[in-house]
Amino acid sequence: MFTFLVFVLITNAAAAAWIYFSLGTKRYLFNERFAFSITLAASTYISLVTGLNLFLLFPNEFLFISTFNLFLGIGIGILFGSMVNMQSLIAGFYNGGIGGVMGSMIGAVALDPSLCGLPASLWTEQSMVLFMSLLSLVVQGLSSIILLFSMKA
Amino acid sequence: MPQWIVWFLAANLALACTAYFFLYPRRKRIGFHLGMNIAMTAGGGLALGTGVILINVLPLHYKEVTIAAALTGIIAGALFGALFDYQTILSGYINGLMMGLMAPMVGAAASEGPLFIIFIELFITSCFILLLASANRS
Repeated sequence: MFTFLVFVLITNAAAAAWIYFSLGTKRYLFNERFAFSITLAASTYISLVTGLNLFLLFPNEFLFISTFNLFLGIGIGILFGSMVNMQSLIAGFYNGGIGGVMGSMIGAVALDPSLCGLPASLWTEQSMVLFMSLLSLVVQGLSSIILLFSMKA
Repeated sequence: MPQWIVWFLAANLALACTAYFFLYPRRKRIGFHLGMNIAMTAGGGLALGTGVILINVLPLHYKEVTIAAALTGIIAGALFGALFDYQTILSGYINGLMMGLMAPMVGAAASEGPLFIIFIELFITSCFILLLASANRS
C-alpha cells in the first residue's frame, strides 16, 4: 500500500510539473483574465490532490502534515500566480491555501469516519485509501486535460 | 431522517432547468464577469444540495454519494459556463468539483434533523432567484 501511494504521489507531481512547464513557456501570450482563470483552477486542484495524497501517506502526524499541506498549497498558488501579475498572485495564494486545507480534511474523514458522525466500521481503511487515491488520479487527469485544452480554445 | 427530503432533489433540478432555459436566449447580453459568477453559483449550489440530501437519505454509501455530488457539480458548472465562453467553463468546473467533494462531509456532520436541509434549500433557492434577477437587469 505504501509503494502504491508513493507511485500515485509521484504520478500526480509529474503531471503537475508538466502542466506548469507547458503553461509557463506560453505565459507571454496570456491576458489578465486568462491568467486569473488558469491560476484559480490549477492552484485549487493541484494543492487538493497533493494534500490528499500526502495525508494518506503519513496519517499519524496529523498536526505537522496539515500545516505542511497549507504551506505547500500556498507555495503552489504563488508559483502559478506569479506568471503574469499581482491579481492572479492573490487568487493563487488564497485558493491554494483553501485547497491544501480541504485535501487534509478529505483525507482525515477517509481514515476516520466517526469524525463526521458516520458509524466507525463503515468501510475498511484499505479500500478507502485505494478509492481516494484512484479518485485523486481521476481528478488530476480530467483537470489536466481541460487545462491543456484551454490554451487552444 | 424523514424520506420526503428526496423531493428537494427534484426541486433543485427544476430550478436549474428553469434558470438554464431562462438564461439561454439572453446569453449574448451577459458579460463575462456576470457569466463567471453565474457558473460558479450554479455549479456550487447544485453540488452542495445534492451532496447534503443524498448523504442523509443513504448514510451508508459515502463513496457513491461523493462521486454523484462531484459529477453533478462538474456537469452543472460546465453547462452553465458553456453559455458564455471557455474560461467560464473552467471556473464553473473547478467550483463544482470542490463543493461536490466537500458537501457529503457537511451533510454527514449535520444529520440530526430536517431543519438544516430546509435552510440549505432556502439558500439555494435564493441564489437562483438572485441569478435570474441579475440576468434580467443586465
